[in-house]
Amino acid sequence: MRIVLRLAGAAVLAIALGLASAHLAVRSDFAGGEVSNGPWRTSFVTGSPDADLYTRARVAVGGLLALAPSETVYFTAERDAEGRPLDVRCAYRVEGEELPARWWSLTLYGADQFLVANEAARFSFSQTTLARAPGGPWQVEVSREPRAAREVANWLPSGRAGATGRFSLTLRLYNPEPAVYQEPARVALPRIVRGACG
Amino acid sequence: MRRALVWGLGILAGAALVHVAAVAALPYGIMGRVLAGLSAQAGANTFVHPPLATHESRTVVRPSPDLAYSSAVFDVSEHPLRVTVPLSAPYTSLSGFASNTDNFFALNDQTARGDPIDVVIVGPGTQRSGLEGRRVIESPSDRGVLLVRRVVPSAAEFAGIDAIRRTARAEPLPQAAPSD
Repeated sequence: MRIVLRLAGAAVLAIALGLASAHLAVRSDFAGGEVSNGPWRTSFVTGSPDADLYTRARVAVGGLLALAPSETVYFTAERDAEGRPLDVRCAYRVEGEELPARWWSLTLYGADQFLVANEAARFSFSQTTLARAPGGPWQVEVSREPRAAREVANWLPSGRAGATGRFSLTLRLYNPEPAVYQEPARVALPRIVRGACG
Repeated sequence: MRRALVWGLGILAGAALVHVAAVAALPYGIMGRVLAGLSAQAGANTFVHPPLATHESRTVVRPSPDLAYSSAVFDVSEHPLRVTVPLSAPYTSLSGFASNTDNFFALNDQTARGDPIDVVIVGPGTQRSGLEGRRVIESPSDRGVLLVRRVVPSAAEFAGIDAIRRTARAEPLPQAAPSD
C-alpha cells in the first residue's frame, strides 16, 4: 500500500513538473529561429515545416495560421526602445518611415493575444490609413486616451479608460522586399518611445 | 540515500516525458479546436466569410483587423478538392495549414497565374490521374484549414471586397481515392 501511494505521488509530481516546464518553455522568450531588431522580434520558421517542437507550439499559442516569411514577415514588440515592457498605463509614440513591403500595418494586441476593446473601435493603422504626407515619416500615439487633439488622427488606443496590464504591437509586412528576410536585424523599423505613465 | 536518488531520477524522467508530450500535442490540440469551431459554422469544404476582426473575434489569436478573411476546413480524405479564389486589390492570398499548424502552401495575386487562384488540394499520397493540367498541391494531412486574406485599404472599400470574397468556392472532384 505504501509503495502504491509513493508511486502515485511520484507520478503526480512528474506530471506537474512536466506540464509546468512545458508551459514555461512555450511561453518563454526563447524560440529557435528568432531574430531581434531593437524591441521587435520575428521568427523565420513561423508556420514552416522546418519549425521545431517548441516553435510550432509557440506559433499555435501566439500566431496560429501565420504565413511563412516568404509571404509575410511579422515583427512583434512587447517592449519599448529602452527594453521596458509595454504598459497600458503609459503613453507611447511610435515613429517610423515607409516600410519595405507591398503593404504593411501596425496592430495592437492585449496580453491575451486578442484585439483590445476601446471606445474608438480602432485596432490598427496601415500604410493606407495613417494620416501623414504621402510616403513620408509617420507617428502613432499609443495610449488609453488621446493626449492632445493634434494626435487624435493617429491615436491607437491601448484600452479603455482605467485599463491596466501589458500589450504588444505587431508589424505585418506583406510581400516584403528581399532585404527584410535576408537581413531582418538591419531593417529600419519604427521606434517605440515611452512617454508619461498614469 | 541511493533510494532517494532513484526516486528523484525517476520523477525527472517522467517529467521530461510529460514535458515533450505536452509541447508536441499542443499544436494539434489548438488546431483541433479551430477545426471544430470552423466546421460547426459551415461543415467541411465550405468557405465562411467573417466580418472584419474586432475585439470580439476570439477564434484565432492575433487576427488582423485590416484583412477580410475567408476560411474553410478542408477534408481531402475521400476526394481531391478544387479551390477557386477570385482576386481583389491590393493583395489577396490563399494559404493552407495542416493539422499540425504547418503552412504547406501560400499563393498570392502575384503568384496566382491568373484570376482566380485555381488549385486542387490532394491528400498525402493521393494518385494524380485525372488531374493533369491542374495546379495540384499535396497536403501533409487529410484535414486542415484554407485561409484567404484580402487587404482592405479603407472601410469604404470593404463592401466591394466582401462581394468578391463570397464567390470563392471549394468543390470535391470525383477522382481516385488515396493510394496505399
